[in-house]
Amino acid sequence: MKRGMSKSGKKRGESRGLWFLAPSLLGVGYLVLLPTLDVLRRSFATAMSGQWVGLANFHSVLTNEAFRLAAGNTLRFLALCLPLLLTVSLLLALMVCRVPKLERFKALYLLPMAIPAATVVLVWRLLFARQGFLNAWLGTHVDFMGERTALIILVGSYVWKNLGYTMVLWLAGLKAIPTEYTEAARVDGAGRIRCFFRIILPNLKGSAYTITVLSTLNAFKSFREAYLVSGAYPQQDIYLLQHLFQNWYTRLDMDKLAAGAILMALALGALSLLLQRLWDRTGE
Amino acid sequence: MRKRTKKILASMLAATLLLAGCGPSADTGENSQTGQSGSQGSTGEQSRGSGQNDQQAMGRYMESDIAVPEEVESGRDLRLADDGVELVSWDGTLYRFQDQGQTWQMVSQVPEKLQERLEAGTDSYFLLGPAGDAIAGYIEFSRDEEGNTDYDSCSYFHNLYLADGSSFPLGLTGDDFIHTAVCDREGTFYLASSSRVYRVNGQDGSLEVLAEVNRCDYLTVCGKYLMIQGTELQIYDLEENKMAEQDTALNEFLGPWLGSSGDVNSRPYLLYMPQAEDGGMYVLTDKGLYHHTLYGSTMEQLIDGSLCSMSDPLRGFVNMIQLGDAFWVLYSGGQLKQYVYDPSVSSVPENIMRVWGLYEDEEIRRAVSAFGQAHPDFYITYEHPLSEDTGMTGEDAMKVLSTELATGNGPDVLLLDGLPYDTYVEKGVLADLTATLDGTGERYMDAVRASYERDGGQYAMPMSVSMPVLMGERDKIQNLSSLAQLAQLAEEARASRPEGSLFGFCRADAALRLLAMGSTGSWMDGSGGVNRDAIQEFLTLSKRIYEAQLSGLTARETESMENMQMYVNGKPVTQMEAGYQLSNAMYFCQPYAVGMLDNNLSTIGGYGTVAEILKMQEMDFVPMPGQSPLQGQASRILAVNEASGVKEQALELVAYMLSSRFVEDSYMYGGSTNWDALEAQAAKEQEEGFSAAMSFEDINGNEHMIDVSTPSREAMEALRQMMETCQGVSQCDIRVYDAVIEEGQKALTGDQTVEDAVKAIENKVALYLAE
Repeated sequence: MKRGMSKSGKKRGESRGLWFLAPSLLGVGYLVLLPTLDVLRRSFATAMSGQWVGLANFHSVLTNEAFRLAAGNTLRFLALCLPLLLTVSLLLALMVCRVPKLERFKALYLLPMAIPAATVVLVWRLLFARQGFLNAWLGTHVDFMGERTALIILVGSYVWKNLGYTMVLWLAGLKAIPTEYTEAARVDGAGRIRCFFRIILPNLKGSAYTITVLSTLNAFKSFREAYLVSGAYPQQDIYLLQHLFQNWYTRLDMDKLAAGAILMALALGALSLLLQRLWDRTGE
Repeated sequence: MRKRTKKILASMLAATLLLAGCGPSADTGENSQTGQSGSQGSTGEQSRGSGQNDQQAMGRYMESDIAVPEEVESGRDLRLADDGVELVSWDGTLYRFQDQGQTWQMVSQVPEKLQERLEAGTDSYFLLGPAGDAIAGYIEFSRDEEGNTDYDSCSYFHNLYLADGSSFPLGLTGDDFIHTAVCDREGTFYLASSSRVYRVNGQDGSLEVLAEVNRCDYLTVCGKYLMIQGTELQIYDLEENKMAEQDTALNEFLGPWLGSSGDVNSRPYLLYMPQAEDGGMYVLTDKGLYHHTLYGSTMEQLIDGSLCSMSDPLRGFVNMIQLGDAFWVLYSGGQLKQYVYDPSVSSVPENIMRVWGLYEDEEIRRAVSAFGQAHPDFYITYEHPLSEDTGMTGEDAMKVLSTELATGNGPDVLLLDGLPYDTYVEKGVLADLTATLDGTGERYMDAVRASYERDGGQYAMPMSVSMPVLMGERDKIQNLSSLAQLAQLAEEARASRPEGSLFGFCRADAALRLLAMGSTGSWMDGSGGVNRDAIQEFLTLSKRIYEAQLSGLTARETESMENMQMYVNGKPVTQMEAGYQLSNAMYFCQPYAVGMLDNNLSTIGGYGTVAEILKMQEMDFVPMPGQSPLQGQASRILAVNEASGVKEQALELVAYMLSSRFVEDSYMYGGSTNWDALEAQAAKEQEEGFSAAMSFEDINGNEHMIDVSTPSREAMEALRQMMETCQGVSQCDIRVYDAVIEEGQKALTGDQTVEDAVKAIENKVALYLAE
């Protein structure tokens, strides 16, 4: 007897599926789509009265010195911390892979992620304040968070916090590569470095995309620490886009805020597409 | 068939869920857990925003006045007797109000000598028992041969006066100071000092110690219990003659009021247990009237204080009674109010008006309370997020406000102290006050009004303004007008006086805050940036003055100044009031002082004190020499939300807050910005008079006595003339000001050069200004 569904039965099944999806679609529509559309609308309107101003808000944002500085700092921060995090965590993952005993401590590697931002900030203050431990050890009297060292501290903090988590992600990717591949390469005379570049790295592409996107998103969370330590106006090098957006919000500059958010969303979208295209191209 | 039943059931369930929702129920009383008939005036969380209140619950206690005898200016007690309500006046006279009577009848008077003492207010407590017995404690000052009062020598007396005319001294031993008394229904008196509670033997005045306590501010008899009210509420069982268990819920509820000071005739809260109630009692606070069952867990709000006189910060409570379904409350000013339940009015007024400021202000609370009484159809809330124990920061509060304003649900009346006026004007948040202010017919300070004018409109108006002044020897200060001249004066003074304080500061940030009072107006350039040259000049000159001050300070003076330093949340606070600075000048025997002068006439430390000390020291005041013309410091800056649903009433409230009729009863810090109000206030002060005395020792051990009274007409005229020269109010951006103080103090202490400080200031504010 032939089992299966007729065309109309399939359609009915699909429409039933849509009904199941409807609540979540409604939720996403109401909580994500509508606010996004509202932000888009506000980016072309005045802050409070909502009058249409065309591209004036975008012009105002793009010519705003604070926006330029914040965007530049955000890009610089991403450019510094992402390669550093991805490289160091991959190297550590490779090391852990070679020493199976170290894998038992996987949970420990995730600990920094579990530490609340408020606690991290407290440690920062103890370490880097003018009267902090670091100054005591070095015999100096420097406000590390008020000087150019602030960026290094922010990058260091980001890498420390995300290193274990990213390493665990890499480990998952590494575990998914069949050992036969590397063993066969070894038999054919390939060295470790060659194995890494020719076998392991190409097989990590799928994981690398996810890890890069997650790390980029996590990079934006570093703002919490920067804000809690230095407030709304930190040292210029760690003045990020989130600082600016928050200050605009407090000062009711909703028009600029909306335009800035749209620009940022466009930039992130472009970055994501670029990454995907790069991955797709190297995968061909 | 089964499928169909299931479908029907599922549909019904879905419909039920949909209709029930998960929002709050109509009765969301803040403190009402049970609710007497579910709706008696409790309010709780109101619908956000302003305009119409969507709650339909009915029934509320309505407030009305009850006339007291004409000769009674202030009352000491209100109580229920078998044949009516009894009122004890300030001089101990007993009046009775019959149930259906229209007038009060005088019933009895205390002995003449006691009456004189009560009238003079030299008593620490006085209580008239139900049977006519009385108990009183008073102080008597000695007199010298010429009959003048010697305030250094006095005696305390504590007596029991029986109804038959006889009296006994109370059997007090040691120097226990009794300050509060209470009487139960049988006529037994109980007394308390700060550490002991006594029962008085009504036959001979002997005392029995009932309890030793850590602190006792007031006593109240509630049925068989004696409530000992200190920093915690302790309960004494009068039948068992021992301390009873504490009422945890009541203690917790009374937390904010327990330990707060008042006097026995003006209490911050009351406890009352009617005879008919078995364990049920009433708690009266400025938040309202609550019902509580002793040892129960709930506090049920019956009357919302913000809807009536209970929230008025100028009124304390004397006593309350329950008469049938009504409550009578006697207030400290002698006002007697009745609260009667009216089931025909909505439980909260249908219209809501929100007043919002970062910090709580008593004057605003008073205005809100008074306006609310005059507009019973409005429920007016006063929100001040930073004064409440919420852990909220200023930025958090501003973000919440921004959200509300952006969504059109903002407060109706805004206090702009600490908020960005220009930003709000630019965004169109604020309503134009021009027509409202012009329409009142009152004369406001033109210079102050001009400071808030933007593009032909005026969107805010401060209630108060203080003037920065320099005080010192008349001939030395009268021609000073610039900070450079002040720096020169400081250096010359130091040359002629190598030791001793000159200006009364030793911390660099305090020096900058005081010296900045006359200069902040020059720190911003016309295009929204900082004026680098002005800030550099300010820091350079301030450094000269600071160094002149510090170079002659003795170690003892420095130590004294540090000991006198006040801290709030771990941060040093600079007291800017002229009265405070001038008192310090007297203490340190300084030739000069700088501070903010205001029109606060009658309080200790106000202009009355300043005028008196200046006269004593042969000193004078001039506008603070600085980089900018005389600019006042505004506070209580009022504005109305343009999007308010009750804009008309909000404007009316603002006009009321600025009006003579409100200001003339005010004791606010900072003079009014309304000339008519200032004149009315001054006239009232002159008419009523005010006198007080304060004495203190200076750093060298010399004693000084200052008799403070209402300033003379000449002194008032001098203040008025100076206020007339005011060029407006300082509107220096708070971030620029903070940056100058923070970086400038490092320049004053030598941690960095003035040039580096100026660069650091520019860097600090560059981001802010660039945004």
